[in-house]
Amino acid sequence: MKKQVIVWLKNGMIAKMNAQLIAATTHQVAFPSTTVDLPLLIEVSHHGLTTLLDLSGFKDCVVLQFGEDRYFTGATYCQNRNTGAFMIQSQARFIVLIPLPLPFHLEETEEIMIKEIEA
Amino acid sequence: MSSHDVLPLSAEKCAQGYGIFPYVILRLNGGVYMQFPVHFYEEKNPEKPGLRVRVDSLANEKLNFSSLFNVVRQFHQQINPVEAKALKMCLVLAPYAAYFFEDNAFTFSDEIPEGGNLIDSNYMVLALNSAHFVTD
Repeated sequence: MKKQVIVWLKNGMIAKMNAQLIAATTHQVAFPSTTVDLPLLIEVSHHGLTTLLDLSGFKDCVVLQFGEDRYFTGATYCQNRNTGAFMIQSQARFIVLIPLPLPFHLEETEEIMIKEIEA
Repeated sequence: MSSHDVLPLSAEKCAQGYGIFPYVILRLNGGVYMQFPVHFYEEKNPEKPGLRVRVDSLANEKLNFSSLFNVVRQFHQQINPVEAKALKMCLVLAPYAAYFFEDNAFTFSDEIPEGGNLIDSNYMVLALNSAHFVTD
């Protein structure tokens, strides 16, 4: 299933993308990198404080993190250069993985809106 | 020359920056695309065709790419407003990543423009029915 993710930037511009939607229903989630396309939207639906994401083998991407109010809380880069495992622990409720390179400054990120894909 | 002839980008054009990521594509009509290379430079203006972006360090690719939304928006504003409304503009970052620009919004696509007649800003043909970027 895909949703339209709209990332609002502080300079008035927006970045739109149709992202594959995955629900994080437990504290630890692993996605088979071969079956997941970027961009990816992860909606955290469990009530724990943190979620451990196994991003081993993922294509290089930036991980944008948003709180319950959908405002930007932080970001990290996922660049797998070897065969080792790569995990991140996040307190975010909404996480968007966007393929690198990223054509806007991370600090310009403000909030996201999630919509059904228009026909 | 038939519409099926293939003409890849020449080495001479590649040396000028054509076919090297990132670049901007302006879609003039159905199968005609105009390419603008993006040149990052530190001090000396490269005086090459396309868009030139002064940066603090060429080594910091992440930071340099992060200015591209602003570069494309400024470029869009420079184009005749009537034409800009009619022409589709696309920022191409990699073979799997492009952002189409319209109404102050960038829309991500994992498919990039390809084929057709690729021309430069002087309406000279760069490539026909082939990739818009350099393939190894």
